[in-house]
Amino acid sequence: MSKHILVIEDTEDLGEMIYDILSMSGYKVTWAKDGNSGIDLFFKVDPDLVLTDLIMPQVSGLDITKAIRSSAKSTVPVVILTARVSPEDQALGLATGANSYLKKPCSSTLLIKTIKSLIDQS
Amino acid sequence: MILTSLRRSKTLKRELQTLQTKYDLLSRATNDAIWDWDIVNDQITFSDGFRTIFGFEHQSDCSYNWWHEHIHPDDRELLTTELKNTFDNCETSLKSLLRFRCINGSYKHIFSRVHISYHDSKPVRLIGAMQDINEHIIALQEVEKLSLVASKTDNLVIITDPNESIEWVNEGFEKRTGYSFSEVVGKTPRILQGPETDRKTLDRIRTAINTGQSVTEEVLNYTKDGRKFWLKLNINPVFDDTHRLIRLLAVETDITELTEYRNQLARMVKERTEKLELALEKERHLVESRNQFVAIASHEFRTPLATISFATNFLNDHLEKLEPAVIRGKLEKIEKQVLHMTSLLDDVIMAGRSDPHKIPVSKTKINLPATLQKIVEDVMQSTKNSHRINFKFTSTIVEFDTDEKLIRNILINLLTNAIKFSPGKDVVDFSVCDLDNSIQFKISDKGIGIPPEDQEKLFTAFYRASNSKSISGTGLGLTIVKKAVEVLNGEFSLESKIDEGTCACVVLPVKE
Repeated sequence: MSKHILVIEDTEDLGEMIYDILSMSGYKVTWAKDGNSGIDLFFKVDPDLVLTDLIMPQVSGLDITKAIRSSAKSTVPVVILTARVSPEDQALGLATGANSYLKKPCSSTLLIKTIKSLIDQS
Repeated sequence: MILTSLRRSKTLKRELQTLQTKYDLLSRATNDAIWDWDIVNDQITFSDGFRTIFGFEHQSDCSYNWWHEHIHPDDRELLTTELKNTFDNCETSLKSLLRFRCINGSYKHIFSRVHISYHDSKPVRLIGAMQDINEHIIALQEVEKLSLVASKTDNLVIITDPNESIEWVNEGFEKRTGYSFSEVVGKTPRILQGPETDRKTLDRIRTAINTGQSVTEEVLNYTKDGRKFWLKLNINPVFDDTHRLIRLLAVETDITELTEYRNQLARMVKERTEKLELALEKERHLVESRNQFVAIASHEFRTPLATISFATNFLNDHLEKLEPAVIRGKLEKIEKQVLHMTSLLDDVIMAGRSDPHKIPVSKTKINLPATLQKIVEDVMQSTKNSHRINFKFTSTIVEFDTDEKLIRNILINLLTNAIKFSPGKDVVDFSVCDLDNSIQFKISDKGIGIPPEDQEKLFTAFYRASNSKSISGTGLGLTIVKKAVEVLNGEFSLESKIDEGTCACVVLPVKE
């Protein structure tokens, strides 16, 4: 059975591209278009991995990471994919509980490799 | 006969001896210089007092000329006249003030009393006493000088009794305060104080007076007609020999001008400091904005770049398997991102222009209601219809001569902001109406509002309000709006309250 990835990305075109890439790589993908529905869907679809944007209105990627880490499913890997590239932001993301911090733009190869390594681990 | 004559002669001799003894005793008893002038023989006899007062050894053979020469030249004529008048009138006494030369050449002030004896209406003998009043005169002159200083100085001088009741004030006091001497005598100097006189200073003065110490303070006083003036006052207690307080002496200098100058200087320093701080703050702000821009620009460009990167990877990886329609779809996405980045670059360039009038303007006649309707639709579409735009057009203007690109830029930015910054709400208001020779565009939302401290700064490129961090944006929108409105000779204003919403107002002139 293919692994299930929850993608949380508020930029329409980018979200769509990520959806296509992951689907073509054999993953089952659920796409949430904002932070709020991201958290809802996390509990609803029970994904194997969460790939989230950082800066989104109302509920940010950090909020989502925190929510997951303090939930019953706290061990689900979280990958942050963001345009915030400063070392401070990266450190904060990892400190909050993300397993990996990817900077936009990144290659689809790196994205898949990162996801694979985390899902195989778990 | 001879016997009688001898007896008389003996008696006279005795009387003379008695008189001489009395004279000698008297001469020794007094400090005055006693002289006896026998006019007939022109011989003057002096007492020991001459040595004490003038330093001359006892001389018994002095003539009138010697005596006359020792009178101060300025006093000689007067004395001669006085003597003449006295002799003419056969008066027996003469009192005069004169200066007499000492052996060392200096002159001493002398009070002279003379008794004159006459024979056949002619003066035959003068007996005089010269009293040394030099110290007295000098002290008197000193007092005269001092009182001249006290009464004529520009400073204010007040003398009070121990109970602070005014005994004397000088002309300087009358001139500066407007009170005459008769108005203040018997009153307290506190009549000069007023509502703005510093109570703490007065307390310090009071403590000093009560403990018998002198005190110097600066005090705000009031003239009789209520004008304020500053005095630097110096109060000194005056004690008698038994250390009893007998007077208070206050000498006060008018420092109103000095105080004003000092205050002016302080104000200037404060102003300069503020200006400098403002400049520094501006500089800090600019640096901060630039730093913020680097982060924001990075963020804004990285997202479309990520989309392009993923799209090209995707095409590369799966080209053979993909339907031509899917390929075309991805290529269109790439093109869209390129357009998005280009427009972002335009914004950056426009916001970065220091002089808005260098922005090129190309005016054409547009159909205003139709153009605005199109803008409303475009914004609703680009914001995924998250909000309804309540568009009310009550203007009478249909054809409007303006730069369409700038108008679009202004309104798209403001409408998008209204929607972006009112998450959770579903409507924003957009009204257009006529004003005198102008047209007003009003866009209001019920969103998160702008913190008051951020409102002015929002017109600085790349600055974003402190409560906007979770909402994406470049910090360029309002900067661009403001510049575009300026280019069109319009006016732009913002009203905003935290958690109540923001109302943006653009007024553009209409040429008749």
